[in-house]
Amino acid sequence: MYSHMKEFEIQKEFFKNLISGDKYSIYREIVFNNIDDTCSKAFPIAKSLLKEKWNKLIEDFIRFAEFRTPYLWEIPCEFIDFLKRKKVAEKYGIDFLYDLLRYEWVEIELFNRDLPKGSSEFGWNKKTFLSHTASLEKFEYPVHRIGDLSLGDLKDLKGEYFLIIYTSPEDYEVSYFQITEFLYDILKRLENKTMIEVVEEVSESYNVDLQEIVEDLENFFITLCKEKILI
Amino acid sequence: MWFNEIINGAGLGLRTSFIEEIFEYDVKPDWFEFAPENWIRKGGYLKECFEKVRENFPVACHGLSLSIGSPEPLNMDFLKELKDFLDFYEIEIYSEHISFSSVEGKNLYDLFPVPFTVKMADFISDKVCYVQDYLKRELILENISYYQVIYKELDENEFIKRILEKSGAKLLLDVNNVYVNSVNHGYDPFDYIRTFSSEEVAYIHIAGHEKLSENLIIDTHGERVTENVFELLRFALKHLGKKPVLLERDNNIPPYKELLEEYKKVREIVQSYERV
Ligand SMILES: [Fe+2]
Repeated sequence: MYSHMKEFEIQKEFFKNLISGDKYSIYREIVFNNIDDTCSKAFPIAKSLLKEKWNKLIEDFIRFAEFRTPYLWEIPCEFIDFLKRKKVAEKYGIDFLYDLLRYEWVEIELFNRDLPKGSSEFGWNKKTFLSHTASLEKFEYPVHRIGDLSLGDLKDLKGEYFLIIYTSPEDYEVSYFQITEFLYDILKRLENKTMIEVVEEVSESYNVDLQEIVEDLENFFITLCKEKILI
Repeated sequence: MWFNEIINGAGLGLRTSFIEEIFEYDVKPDWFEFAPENWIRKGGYLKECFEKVRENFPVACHGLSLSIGSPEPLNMDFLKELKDFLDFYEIEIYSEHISFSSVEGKNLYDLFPVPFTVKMADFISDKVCYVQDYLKRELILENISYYQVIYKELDENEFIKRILEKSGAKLLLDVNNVYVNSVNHGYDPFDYIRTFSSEEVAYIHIAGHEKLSENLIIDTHGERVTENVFELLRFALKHLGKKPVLLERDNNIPPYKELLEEYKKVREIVQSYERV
């Protein structure tokens, strides 16, 4: 009954113009401002790096993005994929851009997750899990230190960086631990296994003598439990 | 656990910028309104603050993404998440806008005007009935502000009236939007309000706007309420009788203390008509 209404065509026409047309509409400005505002708040540093390219990128984003989610606050995540598809970092020589965007987005995501209830004690023979308020990340650039490094330093320090980014149960601030690849591998493999199982596995593959590090490891894991990173 | 009294008196739009301060002041809004889209799929510290508000105040949900006027079926995944949210927090009052924001599943996160035609009104009415059935709640619909008439056979107020009559939905009368549209599209805001009877109106919105030029006002929700809009509010309350009124401020949000001053002014007006 409603399938071939002229009204639908009018709406589609109007909508299409907002996305990719060239007719002036105040709604184009409103849509632009809204998406720009949301992405700017999520990625303030990336925006300042992209400078005059930013606006054009937002325009293209509006044009080519899927925007399936009904939740505007999830849009910055889609913006990252969009910038990757457009190869923006490669094009403009901002090598660490994707790491930076990822870092900024993870902060937002973690901040919006519930901390695990109750407290958990560390035990070698307990099945241990990574809390969903913690995220294990591997970066090529030390973007977690963007506050105290110059952009040039950041570029020069290309390497391998392993981080646990997490929400602190003390003050709900998002914070991080920089860890070794060895620890990263251990935490990566936690899933339905006891800590001792995983640690033995990983130590073997790294040819590490477990006896020598067991005490340090235990202390570190105790800290991670206190911070509700391990549950 | 959740506060289950119905909304009454003057409410305030809930924003995260002041969500931590609400309990610090003696003046407490009678109720709060918020967009479910801002809280669905969220947790963490701000959600804890949100739940504290929900435990202590009557609330209404005011949605953004339903897009009831889209030229396509409703987004059922969204509707399901929305229902779970409303059920979980035991929220009975849910309002949305007579507008569309998505086409072919792509959202633009804004409220666009629909063509004002009989067919469109009927199409929307059917969808409203579906939503009401699904959510097991009455749907309340707001008149939006619009800057472009994309197509019209009916006047906006006739168009809305037809939807209300056909679907049984109630109106969320936004007096700021009435004012903004009356200037931008040249009609009499008082006549517009007279179109609707007290039974048809569930509650009222009031907000600020920005004047860009003599003939163009933008509904920014980012300024103080102007005297013209207060006048329209007084008129609406006189015409409709006692109704809950909500002060919206979505942008450019002042310190909470300052916002409360404006809130108090709204509440005084609402109370003066409650006594009549
Ligand atoms: Fe409104």
